[in-house]
Amino acid sequence: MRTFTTRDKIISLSGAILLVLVWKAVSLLTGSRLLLPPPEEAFVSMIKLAFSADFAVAVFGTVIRGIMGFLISLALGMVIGVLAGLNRTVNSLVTPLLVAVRSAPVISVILLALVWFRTDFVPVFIGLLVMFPIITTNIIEGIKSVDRELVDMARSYRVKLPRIILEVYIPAIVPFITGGIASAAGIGWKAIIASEVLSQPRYGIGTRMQNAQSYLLVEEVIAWTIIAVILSYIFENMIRFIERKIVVWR
Amino acid sequence: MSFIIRRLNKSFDSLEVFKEFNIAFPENRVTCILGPSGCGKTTLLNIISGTVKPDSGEFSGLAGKRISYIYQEPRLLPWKTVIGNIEFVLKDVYPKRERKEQANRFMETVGLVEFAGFYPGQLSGGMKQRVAIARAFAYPSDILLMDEPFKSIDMELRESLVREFKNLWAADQRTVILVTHDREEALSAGHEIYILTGPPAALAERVIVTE
Repeated sequence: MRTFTTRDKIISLSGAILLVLVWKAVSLLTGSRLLLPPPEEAFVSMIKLAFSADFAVAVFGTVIRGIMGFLISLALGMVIGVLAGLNRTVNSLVTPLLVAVRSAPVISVILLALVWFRTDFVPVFIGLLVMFPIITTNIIEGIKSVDRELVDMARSYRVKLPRIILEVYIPAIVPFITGGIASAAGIGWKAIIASEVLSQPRYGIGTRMQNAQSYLLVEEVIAWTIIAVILSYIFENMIRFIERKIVVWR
Repeated sequence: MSFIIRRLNKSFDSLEVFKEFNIAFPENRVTCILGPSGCGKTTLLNIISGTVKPDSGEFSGLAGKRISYIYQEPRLLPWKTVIGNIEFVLKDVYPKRERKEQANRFMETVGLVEFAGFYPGQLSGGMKQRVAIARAFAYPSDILLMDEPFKSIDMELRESLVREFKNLWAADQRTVILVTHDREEALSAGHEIYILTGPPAALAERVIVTE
């Protein structure tokens, strides 16, 4: 088991190295620093960024927006998801909303949000709209999959409904919630940075990307991209870690 | 005093499971219900427990009664430990300290005290069913419903579980309705035996077991 995971890690690492090599080869072939700077330049630019004055505030700004959007999505998703999962009428009522929000092009929602909200809040709103339907749908599916036999057992013993929800339904849907959170966080993160590019809040990864692009600092755009990927990877691992801490009974 | 059901009617789609069905269960006795599968035994227990609504029927002696239920499967919450599963049904009835004592007492009776902190996934099938039995007896019910509780347990273990059940029952002599299709089990555990046919369910025979 252990050797197997080590082997997997070595192969994944080789994949990453191969990717950098291909990147280097393509940049040599194009021969233009402007179109595709070589990996080492992007790397140097990333180090420079990491030690620059506003780096932490920019990253912090985007992360905070992500967390805010995520927490609002989770709270709304829990309430609406549990109600819709338990009650068919509520389910039919919210389905059009979920479908509409899920299928609306992110860019059109960003354009509307730019009209409606101040720049700082636009990415939060976008993150919310992108993450909320994913989390809610997962919770609805989770509630529907809850073992009826356990619910009947609890009802036979006259366990009160709030406790049935808290101690039977919620623990049963934890794997669905964390699954929903993991995919929502990945998609939400990208949408938040995209909306920062357009809304230009004072501090944010998207804002800095847009600035770099307008000065044709392609290596800096790539550097920010790598930073965003690393952050997303860290979040994903944090979510998995928390899931393992909560789901101890498996 | 006994617990009586009169003129019970219940259909699922076009299938009449109960039609003007009458039955009475004496208090503080173990009444067994024997019958072929599909004759409505489980439905009857679910109607008594309140998880299935009858179409009509009169129930006397059931209002305000507490019910505990041992199913064919243990039906334990996988995310709660052994003691957590027992406490789950006791929470609305006892304050914390009494609840712990009660749970501990019954874990001891079924020989699972050392496993109090284990999750169901870490227990064998027989142990899980023991937890379900402890949960049913720890809960201060007036009526204990049992739906083929020993069916999926192998022979050797089954005998010891039936013995444990009889000991537990002797301690507080609550009203028990035991559904089974094992005649031996009915004769060994029950005081009275109803034999049902159906659907729709009908009482074919009533046997009083004398010791």
